[in-house]
Amino acid sequence: MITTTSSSECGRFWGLYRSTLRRNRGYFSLLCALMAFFYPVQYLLEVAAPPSRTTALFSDPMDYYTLLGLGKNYTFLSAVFFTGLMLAAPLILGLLLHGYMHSRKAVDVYHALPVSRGWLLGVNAAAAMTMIAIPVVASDLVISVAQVFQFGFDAQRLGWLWLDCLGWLICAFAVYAVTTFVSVCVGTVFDTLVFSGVLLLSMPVLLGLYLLLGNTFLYGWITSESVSYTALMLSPVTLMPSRFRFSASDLADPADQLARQLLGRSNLAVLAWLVLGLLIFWVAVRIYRVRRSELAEATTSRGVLQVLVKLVGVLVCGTALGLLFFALQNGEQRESVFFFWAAVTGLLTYCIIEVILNRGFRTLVRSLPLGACMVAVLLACPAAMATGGLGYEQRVPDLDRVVSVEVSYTGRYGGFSPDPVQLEEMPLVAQENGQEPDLDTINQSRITRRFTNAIFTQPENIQTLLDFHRTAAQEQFGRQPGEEDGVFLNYQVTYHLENGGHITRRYDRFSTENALMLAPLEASGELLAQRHPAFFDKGEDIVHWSFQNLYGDREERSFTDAQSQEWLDAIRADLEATPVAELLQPQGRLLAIVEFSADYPPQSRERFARSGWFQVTESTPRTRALLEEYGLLEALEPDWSACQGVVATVGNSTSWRDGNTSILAEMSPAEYGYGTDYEEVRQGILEDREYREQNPEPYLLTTAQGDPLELLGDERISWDNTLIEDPAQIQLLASLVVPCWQVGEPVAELQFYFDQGSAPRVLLVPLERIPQQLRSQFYYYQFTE
Amino acid sequence: MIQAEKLVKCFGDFTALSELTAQIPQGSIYGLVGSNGSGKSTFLRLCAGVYMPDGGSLQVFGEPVYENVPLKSRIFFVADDLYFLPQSNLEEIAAFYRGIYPSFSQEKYQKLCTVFPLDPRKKLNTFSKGMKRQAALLLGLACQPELLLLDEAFDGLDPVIRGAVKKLLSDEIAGRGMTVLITSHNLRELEDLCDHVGLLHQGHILFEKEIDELKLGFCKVHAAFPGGFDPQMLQPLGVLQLGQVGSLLNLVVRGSSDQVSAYLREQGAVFAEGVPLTLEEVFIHEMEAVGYDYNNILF
Repeated sequence: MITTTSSSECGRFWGLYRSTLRRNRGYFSLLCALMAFFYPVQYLLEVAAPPSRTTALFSDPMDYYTLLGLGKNYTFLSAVFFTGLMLAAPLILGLLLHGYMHSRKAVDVYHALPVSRGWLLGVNAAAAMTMIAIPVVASDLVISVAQVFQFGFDAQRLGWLWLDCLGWLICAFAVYAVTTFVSVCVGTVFDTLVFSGVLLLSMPVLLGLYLLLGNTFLYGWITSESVSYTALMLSPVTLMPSRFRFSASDLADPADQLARQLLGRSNLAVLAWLVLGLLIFWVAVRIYRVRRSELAEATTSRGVLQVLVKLVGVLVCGTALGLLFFALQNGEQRESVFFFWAAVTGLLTYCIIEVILNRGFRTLVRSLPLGACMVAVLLACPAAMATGGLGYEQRVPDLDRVVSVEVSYTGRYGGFSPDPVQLEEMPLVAQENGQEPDLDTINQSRITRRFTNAIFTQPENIQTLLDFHRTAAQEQFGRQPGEEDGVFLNYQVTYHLENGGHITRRYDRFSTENALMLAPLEASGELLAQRHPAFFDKGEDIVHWSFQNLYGDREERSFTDAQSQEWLDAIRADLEATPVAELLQPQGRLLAIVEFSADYPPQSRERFARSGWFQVTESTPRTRALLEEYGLLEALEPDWSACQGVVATVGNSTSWRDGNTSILAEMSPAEYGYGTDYEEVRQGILEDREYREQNPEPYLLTTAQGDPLELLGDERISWDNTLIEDPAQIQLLASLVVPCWQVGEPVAELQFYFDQGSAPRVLLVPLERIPQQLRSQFYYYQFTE
Repeated sequence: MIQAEKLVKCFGDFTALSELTAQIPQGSIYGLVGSNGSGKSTFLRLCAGVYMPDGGSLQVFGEPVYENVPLKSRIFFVADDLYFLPQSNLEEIAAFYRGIYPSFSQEKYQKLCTVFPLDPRKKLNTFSKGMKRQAALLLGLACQPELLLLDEAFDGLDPVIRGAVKKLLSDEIAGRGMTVLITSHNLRELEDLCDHVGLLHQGHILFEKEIDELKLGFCKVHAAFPGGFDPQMLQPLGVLQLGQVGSLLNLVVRGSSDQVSAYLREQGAVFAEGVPLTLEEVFIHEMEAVGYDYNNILF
C-alpha cells in the first residue's frame, strides 16, 4: 500500500513549513521568552509602579511614566533590548535556515528534494517571519490590553503602537531578505554574516561619515537634522530605532514641523523597505534557482559582493581613522594627516579583508591593484571637498534667482531678546478641583512657534547678504586652525530660489571687514519688523514699562493702552529713522533704556513677543521727547555729586550684550563691577602711579613705535587702571556713553563709584570717542613724539 | 530512462564530466565504476538534480531533471556523505520525507524498520557510520522512488546488511520496476548485484555493457608447457596479461576461452583450460589499457 501524503506543491510547502517550525522550536521558544521578559514584562513593571511625579503637572496620565515611542509602549530598557532582538532575530534565523546551502552534505539532501528552490526559500522565510511575528504581536497585544485597562482607550496611541509593530516586522523581513540574498550569493555562513552586516549597515554608516567629512572639509557645509535622520532611514537596521525620537507631544506641537515631516518620511521609508525587502527576496529567489550547489563551503573569493564588501570596508575604516587622526592633530598639517592615515588605513583594511575572505595570503599581491583603486576612491571624495567641493564653496546664487533668504542673523534684537513667536488661539483649559485655571496655567498651554531666523525678500537686503556671502566664501576666514580672531557669528543662510530649490550654508567666523558688510541689515525695516516687538505688539498687550539709566536708577510705570501704543509708535519711528552710521559710530548719548513686558493676547497672532527693550539716546527724538514729557528724563538723571570717582581701564571686554547674532556690540544697564571699597581701590591706583613717576624710564614710548590705538593689540603694552575724580571729566565720560558700537572696536571700561560700600557701575565706551588728552591717561606708558 | 548526451560539468577550471554520453535502461541495476575523481558522484548529483549541467543534456524519464519538481519526486538520492536534519531521529526524518515524497509508504517504512536494526526514536547523530547508511537506505526505499541513486551505497555496511540490501533492491526492481544507479569502488559487490555496468574515466564513459557481455569479451587461460614455449607463438592471441610460474602460463586475452585453449594445445601445451574472469580483472585490464595505474583503485 502506498500512503500518498501531499502531492501538490502547496501541500509540500505546508509540510516543509511545519517541519521547519518544529525543528526550530528551540530558537522560537528562546525568542519568545526573551521578548516577553524584555518587552511586555518591562512595560507592565513600569506602569504597575506608582507614579514618581506629581500628577498635577501632567494632563495625560501616561506622562507619569517614563515610556518611549509613539505608542508609549517601550521603557528605556525594553527599547534597547527589543531593538536588539528584532534586529538580531532575522539575521540569526536567516543564517540558521539557510545554513544548508553552505554545507555540501546538506545541499545533497535539500537540492535533491522534490521541492523547487523558490519554495524552499519561501518556506524558510515564512517560518522565520512566523517565529518573529508571533512573539512581537503577542507582546503588543498584551501591552495594548494593559494600556486600555490602565489608561483607557486611546485610538491614536494604539494606532501608533500597531503601526510601529508593523514597521518592526517589515524591517525584520527586510533584514531577513538581505541575509537571504547574501546566503544565496556566498558559500559559507561566516561570509553570509559578514556580507549581510556590511550590506545592512553600509549606507547609514557611510553617509554619516561623509556628512562628517563635509563638516570637516567643506567650508560652509551644514548637516541638517533632516539629512542626518534621513541617513538612518537607508537601512532597516536603523530605521525603526530612529523612530524612538518621536513622541506624540512633538507631533501635536504645530511648531515642530520637522518632527511631522520626518515621521511622514519615516512611514514612507517603512513602506519603501517593504517593497525593497520583497524585491530583494525576489532577486534572491531568482539567483537561487540557478545557484550552483557546488558553491557550498566555497569561500567568496570573487564576485561583485566581495568587491563591494572590500570597498565599503576601505571607505569606512579609511575615512573613520583619517578623521580620528585629523581630530587628534593640531596645526596646519591636519589635512595632510587625514589623507595619510586614510590611505594607510584604507590599504591595510583592504589587505585584511582580502586575507580573511580568501582564507590566506596567496591572492593578496595579485589583488593589490584593486586595493590601490579603492584607496584612490577613498581619497577622491575628501580631496574634492578639501579643494572646494567642485565649486560648492564658491557657489553663491545670483540676485535674480533668489526669491527670499532665510538667515540666522537676527541683529541686535536677536541675541538676548526673546525670539518672537507665532500664537495660536487661547486654549480651553479644563477646571481642576472645581476651580478655573489661572492665566499662567492657560499661557503655559499656549501653542507657540518661535521665529529663530529672519527672512528677507527685499532686493537690497538680499544683495547685502549675497555680497557678504561672496566675501566670506572668498576669504574662508577661520578655516585654518590659527585664525581665531575676527568675528564669531552663528550664521546660517538658506536661499530659496525661484526654481523651488534652495541653497544652505553655515559659517561661524568672519573677518571684521566681512562681518561689517551686514551692517545695513541693522537699519533695515524688514529685519526690525521681524525682531522688534514695537512692530508687532500692541498697546493693549503691554502690561508693564520700566525705565532705567545706566547707573542703577529705575522708574516703573503703568500706562493706558493708548499711552503704551504711543510709546510703541515712538520706538518704531526712532528705529526706522536711525541710520547705519549712527549704529556703527553713534554720536547720540545714551539716556535711558526702556523695557516693557506684555501678556499673551487671547487671539491668534502672526507675531508676538512677551518683552522688549529700546535704548533712548540724543539721536532718537521721538522717544526722547516722550521721556521728557513723562518727566522721566529728569528722574533718571544721576546725581553726579554723589559720584566719588571713575576707574577707567582698557580690558578685554568689548561688549555686554553679545549673543553672536549681531555685528553690533551693545551697552547694557546695571552691570556691576568688583571692588566695593572705593578708598582701597583708589589707594592702590595712586601707589601704582607714584611708582611709575619715580621710575618713568621703562614706561616711555614714542609715537614712532606705532599708533597707540594699534598698539592695543600688542601684548607687550600694558594698560593701567586710571583714576578720574575731576567732576568735569566724570561728566564728560558719562556723556560719551553710547548704546552700541561695531563689533571688535576697542573700548574703555569705566567703573563709576557712587556710594561708599556698593559695587561700581560698569560702562563701556569706544576708545575712539574719548578725547586724546583723556585717553592718554589710560596708558601705562607715556607717549612722546 | 537516463539519457546523457555530451554531458559536461565543470567545477571552476576542473572539468569533472567531459561530453559524457550514456544510456541507462529502465528497470536495471546500473553499476557505475571508475577511478577516483572520474566523475561518478558528479553524474549521480546531476541525475538527482543537485547540480545543473554546464553543457550537453541529461534527461531522466525523458525530461531534464534540474528544478523539475514532479520528476524529482520520482527520484531518491543517497549521497556518499550522509546528512540528516540536525537533532532529528528516524521518525522525524521519515515524517519530513512523508510530507515531501508523494510515494512515501508508511507501511513499507514500518516494515523496513523491522529489517534494519535501528531505533527510530534515537537521535541520528548518535548512529554509527553503518547505521546512518542503513537509515538512509531505509528512507530511500520507503519513498518508493522509480529511480534510486546510490553513491557508495554499501560503504560501512556489514556483510549481513549488505546482503539484505541487495535482496531488498532486487525485490524492488522485480516488484515495481525500480531502476537503480549505483556507484562503488567495491567491484565484487557490483558484480553480484548489477546487470549493467559503465566505466568512467576522466569524465568519459570508457564503456558500458551488460555484465555478462562484458565478461565474454575477455578470458583467462591456464596452460602448461613442460618443454618451454616460444613467446612469438603468443602474438596472435592479443595477450592482455601474461604470468609464468615454472612451466605454467597464466594468460588474460581477448576472445573465447575455448578458442584460445585449442590454439595453445596446438602449440604444444599439455594442458590448457579457461577460468572465469572477475569484474575487477576486467576493469584493471581496461584501465591499464588507457594508462591508469591500477593501484589507485580500491578493492
